[in-house]
Amino acid sequence: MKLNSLIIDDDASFRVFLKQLIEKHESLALAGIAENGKQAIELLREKSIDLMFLDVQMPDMSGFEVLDEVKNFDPTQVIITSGSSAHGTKAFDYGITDYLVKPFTEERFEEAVARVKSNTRGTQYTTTLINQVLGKVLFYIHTRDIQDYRPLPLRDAKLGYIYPMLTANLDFGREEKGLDILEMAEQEGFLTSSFIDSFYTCNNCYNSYLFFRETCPKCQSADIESEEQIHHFPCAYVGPVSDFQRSSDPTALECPKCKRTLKHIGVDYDKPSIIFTCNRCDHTFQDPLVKAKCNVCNSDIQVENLLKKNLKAYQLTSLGRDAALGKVIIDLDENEEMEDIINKETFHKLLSKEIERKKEALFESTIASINLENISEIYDSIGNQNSSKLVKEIFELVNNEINRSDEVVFQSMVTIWLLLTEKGVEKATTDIQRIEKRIKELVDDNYDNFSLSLSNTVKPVVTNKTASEHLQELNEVLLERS
Amino acid sequence: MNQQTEVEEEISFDNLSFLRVRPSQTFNPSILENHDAIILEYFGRHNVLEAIKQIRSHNEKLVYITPIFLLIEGGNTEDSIVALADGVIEKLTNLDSAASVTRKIISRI
Repeated sequence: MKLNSLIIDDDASFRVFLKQLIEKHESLALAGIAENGKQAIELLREKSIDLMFLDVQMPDMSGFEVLDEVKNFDPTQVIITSGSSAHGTKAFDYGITDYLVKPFTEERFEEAVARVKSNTRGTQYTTTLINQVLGKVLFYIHTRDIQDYRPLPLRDAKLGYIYPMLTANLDFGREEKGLDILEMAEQEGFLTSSFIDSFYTCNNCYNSYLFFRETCPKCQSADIESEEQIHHFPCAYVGPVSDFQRSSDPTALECPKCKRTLKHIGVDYDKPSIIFTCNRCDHTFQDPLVKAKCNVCNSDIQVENLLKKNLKAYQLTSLGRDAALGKVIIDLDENEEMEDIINKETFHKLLSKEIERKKEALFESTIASINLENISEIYDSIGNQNSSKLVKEIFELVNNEINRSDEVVFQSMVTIWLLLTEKGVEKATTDIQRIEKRIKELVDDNYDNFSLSLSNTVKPVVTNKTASEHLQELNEVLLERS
Repeated sequence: MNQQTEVEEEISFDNLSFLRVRPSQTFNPSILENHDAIILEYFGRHNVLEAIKQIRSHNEKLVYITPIFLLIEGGNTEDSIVALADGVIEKLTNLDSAASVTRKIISRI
């Protein structure tokens, strides 16, 4: 996803310099250029800007005056560009992301953009955007008194469907977020829904422009041909129709085994199935692999791994109406659930407390990590959304296996950290092995032809080491193994 | 006909101010703050879609919530694009229905 960037500077040569930097940066897209504060405000009101490079001193107004004017237009991030560092303190009071003193190097520019990207990955940006967009949608439904807020088919849309107002507020690359926003709004009670239809999207880029075709299960080539299969009752010969066709008269069928002429379908022969032949590897088979090629990202996906999306019509609830009118605050947070799962900070705090507790009393505690060694293979095939679902399932499973006083988090998508309180290494090792067994059963049962490999590290919690040192040890063991 | 030409005409009807626009690449939705509704000429699906997107994605409430009517005097139209608007106008001499819809929307803002 590229960040829509806006240049605001009265210096023509600097605008050209910055334009070149933005255009060649893989994470940025130039959305506009303003020569003064007035133009900047106009562009910020019109467009959805993720990042502005703002000059502090301009003839018509200062950069800070621009920020005062547009303070309600979140979630724009700001990089101040200035000839001096004199305004630094004031700038950071405005909550800017970075401050570049002209002239600056390309490396310094990269560093500032990296900081912006790091902020963007956080929840604040997404959450603010989601809440803003939902506010608009609810207000739109209310002002139009729409009884059924329905999707409209549109070939230009990423999903093939758009919702009025909603999709217009999402960049093409984020259009699939619209369905998530509506689902979250339903969960929060702003909307109710009724099912309309379902469709499938690419599990990598969420596009619904897919080319479905049958492929060879052996070499994956789509260059395959199908033929009806014939079962000749009298001699029990079974083979493709071409085996029965005579070169002298292709319309007549003769059994290659008993040389009798086939007369009546259902009486002396039948066509029980279709047989496929691969033109690339000559493999013959009855069950082709159905795959979908994404027209956008070119992923070639087994249809079982496509993402199924439900299309719904939505109705405004009284709570939704109040939210539309600003009587109720809209505060959705899509990352809340995953934040609980992948949360190293909380784990670190709890481990620190456990170390302190151990200093006060005599008992044993253990930390452990479980590494899901080859689970990335599954993540690659099922896409981001289903990967998150799988992580949640594993998280819930592990949570059910441990005591209430114990703690589990995902350190990353492949590594689980556990804190087993008041339990020594020996007992904890038995528990970890049981948990590993359950995880393996869950994954192996749900993914055909896949065998999950796991490894673990179990260490005692000791009082002469900090929480960071404990966790560093766990990571070092993992690194040594990899 | 030059596709870049943007026709802008203010139409007063029944104490409402409609802005008639032929959407183009230079369309600036900020001007809608001073009007009750916009009448977009159905002049190329891409231009119409883009204009609607610009209006609905605007940050100002008075702009993004503006009633949009499509002026369709013939030719091919696409149902989904028509459904994105608040109504269709076939003749500028008859704005009764558009005025009624506009009043209803304004009353709920």
